[in-house]
Amino acid sequence: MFVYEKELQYPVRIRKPDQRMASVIISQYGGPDGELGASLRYLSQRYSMPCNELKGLLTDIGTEELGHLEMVGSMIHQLTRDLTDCQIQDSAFAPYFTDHALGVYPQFASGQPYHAAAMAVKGDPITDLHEDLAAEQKARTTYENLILLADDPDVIDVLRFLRAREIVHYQRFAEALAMVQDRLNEKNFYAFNPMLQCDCKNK
Amino acid sequence: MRNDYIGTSIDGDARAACPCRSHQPCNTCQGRINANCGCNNRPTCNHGCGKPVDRPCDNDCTCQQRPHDDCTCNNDRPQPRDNNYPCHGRTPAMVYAQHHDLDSIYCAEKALLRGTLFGCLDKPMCNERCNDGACTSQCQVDKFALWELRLYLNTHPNDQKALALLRKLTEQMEQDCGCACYSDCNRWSWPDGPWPWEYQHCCGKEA
Repeated sequence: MFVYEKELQYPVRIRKPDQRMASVIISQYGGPDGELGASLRYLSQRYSMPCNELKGLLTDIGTEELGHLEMVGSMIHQLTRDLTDCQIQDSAFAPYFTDHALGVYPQFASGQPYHAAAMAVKGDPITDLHEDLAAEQKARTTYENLILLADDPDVIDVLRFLRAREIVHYQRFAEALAMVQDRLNEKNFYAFNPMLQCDCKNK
Repeated sequence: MRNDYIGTSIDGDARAACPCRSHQPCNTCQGRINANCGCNNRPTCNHGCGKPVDRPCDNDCTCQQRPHDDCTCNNDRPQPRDNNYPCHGRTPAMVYAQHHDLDSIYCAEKALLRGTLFGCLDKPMCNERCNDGACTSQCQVDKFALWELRLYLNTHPNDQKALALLRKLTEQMEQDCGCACYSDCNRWSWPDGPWPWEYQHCCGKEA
């Protein structure tokens, strides 16, 4: 089950509203490589993992990504809560404001709502771990893009922390993949899905 | 569990064009041969059996001329050819995981600021400005270090040094965080603000 701790993993303290940044940072809330997708991906993949260490790792990282989702949502909230009318009418933000006002809605930076096609759960541990490695790199790259777009140190500080976490997650998934590979029969190195293998010859 | 090999190999060493440019017998060219080779001679195994090679062998056979499956030359091959495992001996592509341990860990305060306990995983962007340090509580610092160690232990469950550090950090955290109680003063106070996204200025002053 899930328990909530009433504290962010890293503080989000943004003093200056910025609707331009809100319009792009929303991508890490509900975008293709954002935290919602990451947490859903890992929490969904864990059911078909063959080893307990993998179930533990995916549960923990999936949970941490929910915490990051909260941090990104906090950023959007703080970037938009004190906007003036003129700032709201800014072309980048007006469409979002029309549909969501100052609410935080999971969508891509382009305006597309979040959808699960942005993630994959293949039920094969090797495939899923590769998906996870790619997801962490995509998230890292997105944070780097956002850091380059930002100029407020309060915003950059949080983005920088989140980017650092993606690098650590990548490392853990690589270690998990190495663990799975070590346990495979060497002749089946790439191929089989341990969740589905059975002795079909006897049927 | 089945032992049949049902996958595909990743062979980055694709057949190269035959480097011989003349109509020399293909058994003199050093590279692998393919159908586009301009030689008109059919390659032969030059280990003495003289049998023609109908098609290039695409396995790592140690016989220099890469004989066909039914080549009857009796040269010893260190790796027995096994048609059930055509990729036997080949190394498929793999993801490389740099392994690390607790040798270069930060103190808990620095770990939270940098986003990781492990110095070897601290990979800032170029020109990253040093942050002054967000205002964080000791409880937050302890929880982060513990969390980061927990992720490490998921993939290194037998690391004794990590387990010892876990015990130490857990004690520290219990001291610094205390026990959250939401029913003081005869009132349920859990929903009370500030909520985590409603920040307060550094060191407890009101926003």
